[in-house]
Amino acid sequence: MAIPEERKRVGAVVGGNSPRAVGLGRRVRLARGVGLGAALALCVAGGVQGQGVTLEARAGVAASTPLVRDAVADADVYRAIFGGPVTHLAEEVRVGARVAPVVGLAVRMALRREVSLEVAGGWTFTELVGRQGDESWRIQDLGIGHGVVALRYDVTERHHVRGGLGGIRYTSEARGLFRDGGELRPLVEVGGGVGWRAGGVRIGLDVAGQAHGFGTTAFRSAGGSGVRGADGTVFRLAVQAGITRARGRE
Amino acid sequence: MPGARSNGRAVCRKARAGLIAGLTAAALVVAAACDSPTIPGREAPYDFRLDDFLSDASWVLRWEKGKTIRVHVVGGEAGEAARLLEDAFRAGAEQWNRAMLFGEFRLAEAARVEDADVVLMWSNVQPPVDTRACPASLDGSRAVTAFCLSDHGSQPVCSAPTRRLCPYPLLPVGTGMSQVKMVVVVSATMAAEPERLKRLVAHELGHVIGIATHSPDRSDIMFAGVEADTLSVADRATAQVLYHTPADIVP
Repeated sequence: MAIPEERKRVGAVVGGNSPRAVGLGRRVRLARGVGLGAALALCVAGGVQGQGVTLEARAGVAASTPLVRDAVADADVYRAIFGGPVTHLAEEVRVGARVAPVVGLAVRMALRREVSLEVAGGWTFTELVGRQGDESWRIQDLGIGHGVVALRYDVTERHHVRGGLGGIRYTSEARGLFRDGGELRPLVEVGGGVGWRAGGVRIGLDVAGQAHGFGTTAFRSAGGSGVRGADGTVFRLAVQAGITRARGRE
Repeated sequence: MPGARSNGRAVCRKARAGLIAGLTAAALVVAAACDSPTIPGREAPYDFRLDDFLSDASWVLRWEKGKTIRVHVVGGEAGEAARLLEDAFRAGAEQWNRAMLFGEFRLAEAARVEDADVVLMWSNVQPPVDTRACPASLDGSRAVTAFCLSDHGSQPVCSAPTRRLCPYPLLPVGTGMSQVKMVVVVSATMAAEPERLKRLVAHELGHVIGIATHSPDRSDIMFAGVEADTLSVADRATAQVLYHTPADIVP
């Protein structure tokens, strides 16, 4: 295939497909899903709460470091391909989850006066996005489910810290990075927060940092790894508001 | 003062807990920052640039990242021949789609020519777009991929280095508009060799995504003689490097 001799123009340029325009309806459905999930969680939190057990519904946003960094090609690769001086360079590709809404539920059981056991789970409704230099492109929808068992320590009446272990799984359409599916990976979480009583409920603001390994079969088959030769580590940060029915000390 | 001592212990305990939580969080951040999942640079790609006979330059041609490249397959009236061409397209598209990790492009079938970016057709059927200004003639080849560039008129959307490199769409036969920028013609004689046809269509789809030259290695699907059955490591690496190299021409 080579550039043909001069050709006549035979029609106006028609714009290409716009992935972002297609994504608009999906976002509306996503917002509805998040709203419905949050409402359902609040109903459950209000209704199921029992003596000694606290149920908290949470909603917020989550962000993470890139799932994959890809060097693609350096100057030596281009020199080998093209020969002569290097005229093209590829910037590093970063693929990750877009900052997105997360909803979740947490169940707490008091162990001692200031210590409780917390079992929490959440789901992040996001999409996989690629970035290279100034360019960015949407890759595919991505769901992130996580569950954590943590110990929570009430530092003061209003402040708490917690830390725990759990699992996380990325779910997406079977193509590209996820063509052979996602994997359940162990997760470490630390967090803390503050709460206020307002009428019959307790409103909380919670910040959690999570670290977990990430890798898929497709990632590994492309030679991907972390610096230690295993799958690399991804760090997530979630800021969530929570609501519980207030009853005595929590 | 037992009360004051107990209060002091509580404050110390709380401060210690806060410190431990803070240090743990900081350690996790540092660990994550230093250990990102990383894919190394590709090895063994071949040259993918388009040779420009008029300026003696070479250009990088590729679709915009994230693009679904819609291909309208024109198999003609003969049912068996039409099925063969569709099967060959699906097999070839599947191979190229699997070569990409990050949704850089996706080859998909378009039912209507009005929705297509590319037309794939037998040489003995009537083209659904007007190719007179941009003939895709076989000239003894088994298949050819053609696209049209122009330096005439005003091109509202073109980032090519010069105006004569602006791709333009081919109008459908009859009325209406289209965004067809490429035409792939396969010799009708290939219907007698289904396995060879699959290889050939996979090769032409490599041109469609933007690999504009041929590989010098016989084991690559983009070798001019098309001897390989499937994409090689070098074919995949070439497509990946191509889609992360700044483009000169975007169809």
